[in-house]
Amino acid sequence: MNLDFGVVFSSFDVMLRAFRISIVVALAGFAIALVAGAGLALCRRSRLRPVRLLAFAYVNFFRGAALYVLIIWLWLGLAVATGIRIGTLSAGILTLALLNSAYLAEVFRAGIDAVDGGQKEAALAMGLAPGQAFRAVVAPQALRISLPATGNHLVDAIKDSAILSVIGIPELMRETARLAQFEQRPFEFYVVAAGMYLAAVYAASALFRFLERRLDLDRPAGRWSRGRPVRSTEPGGGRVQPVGTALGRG
Amino acid sequence: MFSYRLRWDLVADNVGGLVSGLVILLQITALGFALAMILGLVVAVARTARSPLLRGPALAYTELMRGIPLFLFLFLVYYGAAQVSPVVLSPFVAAVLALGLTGSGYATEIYRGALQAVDPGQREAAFAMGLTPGQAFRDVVLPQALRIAVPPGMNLLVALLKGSTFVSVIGVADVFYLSRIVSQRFFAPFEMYTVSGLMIIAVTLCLAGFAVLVEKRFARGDRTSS
Amino acid sequence: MSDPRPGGLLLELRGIRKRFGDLQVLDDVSLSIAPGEVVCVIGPSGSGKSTLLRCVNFLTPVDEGEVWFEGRRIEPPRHSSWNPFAGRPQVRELTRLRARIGMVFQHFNVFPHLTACENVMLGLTRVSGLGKAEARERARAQLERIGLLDKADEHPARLSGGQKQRLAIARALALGPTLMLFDEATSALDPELVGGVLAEMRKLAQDGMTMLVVTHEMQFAMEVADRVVFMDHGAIVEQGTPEHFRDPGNERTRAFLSAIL
Repeated sequence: MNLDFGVVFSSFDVMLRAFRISIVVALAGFAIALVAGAGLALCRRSRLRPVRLLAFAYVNFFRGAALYVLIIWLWLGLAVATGIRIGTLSAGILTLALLNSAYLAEVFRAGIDAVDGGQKEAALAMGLAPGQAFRAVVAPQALRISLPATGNHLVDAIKDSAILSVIGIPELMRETARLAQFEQRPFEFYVVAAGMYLAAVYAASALFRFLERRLDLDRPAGRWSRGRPVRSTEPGGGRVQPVGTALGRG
Repeated sequence: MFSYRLRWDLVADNVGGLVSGLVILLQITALGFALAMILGLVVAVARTARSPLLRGPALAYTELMRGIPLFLFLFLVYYGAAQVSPVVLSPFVAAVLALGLTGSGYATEIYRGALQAVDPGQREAAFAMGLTPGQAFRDVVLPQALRIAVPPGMNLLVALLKGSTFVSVIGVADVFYLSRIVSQRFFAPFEMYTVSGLMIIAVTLCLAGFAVLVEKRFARGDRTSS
Repeated sequence: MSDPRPGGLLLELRGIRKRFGDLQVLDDVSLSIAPGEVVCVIGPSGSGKSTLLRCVNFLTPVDEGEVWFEGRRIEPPRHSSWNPFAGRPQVRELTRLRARIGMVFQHFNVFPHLTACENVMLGLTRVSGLGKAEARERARAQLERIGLLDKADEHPARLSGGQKQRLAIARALALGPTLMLFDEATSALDPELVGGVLAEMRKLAQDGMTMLVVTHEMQFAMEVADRVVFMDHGAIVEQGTPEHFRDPGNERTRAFLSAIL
């Protein structure tokens, strides 16, 4: 066994560029998912039954779907059959957004449910309109509670972006596979790529740990310093784990 | 819009292949899950040990396994192992290993949480009656931890099933492998991928239903703490 | 294992010290118990009485001081934070001693995954090394003694608090201990269930069992104890017969007793 990481380093700039695409795709998909997920969470609490049902169906379908299956069905199956033309990059971002919006909708819904009912009552008793009470009192607390689980899903989105290579996005996984085959050094290339993914995963979880500390309701100097201590619904005290709790969601 | 002519007959011609491909996927999932749960228990014991010499490496292992994308890990195990060792793994074995190793990182955390969730008084009571640490673990703490680990364990199983869907990328002849071949030869990606996707969804739904059943069974009666 | 010193002490604690962080929980506590004696430890919460009990069988390792049981010194296991195999011989020795000291906890700590009968059998098969059939027979005899035979195949979740605690007593007694430790055995019980457990303890005392009892039940202590020990701030303040405690000498004891009676 002779290892040669020199080959990897001579292609390092190619890998870094591909890594940037991975990150951009993951972040773009996740950003869309954040907004859509929040919307879906609200839809699931809608007064209108059809809206609730649709949101429920959407969330449960995409939560059950495997990313790999979804992506090849959408872009190698459906798009081909219907003649829809869409860039691979957009396709990848869209697919990540579809899945993650469903996960995040569930996270936000649980966060809203976890806010003590007394908070809303107190806000209403003060004379706030229901909408105001939600925005000013319930939502900020729910957001804080949702933070650790949201962080875990970002971590998973970064790891999942590797699967997007199957539709031809020139991201880290695809470029690594290409280089590994070309140079006949799969071990070295995959190890270095794994290191890059690990770095991204650690950066993401560090970011969320920082956010959590900043928004810690128990801390006297926190932003909502007078809020009641809110305990997360997450097992393990609700801290972001260094890496995601769900397996790469395939 | 539909210049595409649907050829469901191709699906009908390949039913046998699709089913056996699905069986391969299920085998990989089941074996990977078994490996993950066994390995995870060993690592969890080290992870909760008193000595940092055991705890440190166990922590590093779980962080590594949970931080590397399974998709990449699959390639690393299959192609990397062939490069650095004389052992040549079959795609099937590589897939089981990748799934099992990645899964063991998650299984470790599941066990660790479950072990910590067992009332410390249980261990104390076992010690107080003269059980050795080993006996206390095996006879008192572990059986209770296993029950607590069942629901998250079922989630891991579903996650591994989803992860197993892309093992065809290293050449495992599963449903998606067959779908790709048939699609390329006869240009029928929509039909083949739709059917294989539905098969996976059906299995996922069955597993999810089974998970609910198991959870109910374990939530009953004897789990409440004393 | 018989007492090498006839007429000697069953248990002797010498100069026990224990601190948790900044808190000195036990400060130079010495206590000895003769065979057949029933000693009740009373005192305000946080006085260190439960910790003292747990130091006897090293569920809480002592910082300083010696524990002598049946004429032998119990060596604390010396765990190393690096060597996972350190302390093994002491653990084995400790294990043997613990089997001779029964303990009953405030929160019962019966094993929820085992039936009542299996709870009692576990120690018999694992510690006493009995076969399954014999262990079952003995376990059922114990359950019958405490009136739980009809619950033998139930899991603890189906038992009341009082039944769980009686089960815990049966589990400890099955191993034939020479000393029984009771750590606030009735504190977690609903008031109407306390009586049954106390009756069991009283019966045990009458049968001549040596008992070290941490309790808040003054009535019980006065009736059953041969000696009452009053602890406060991690030290023994005063000890004597129950009669002595009807008119204690120490001011703190007096304050405590008037507060709880």
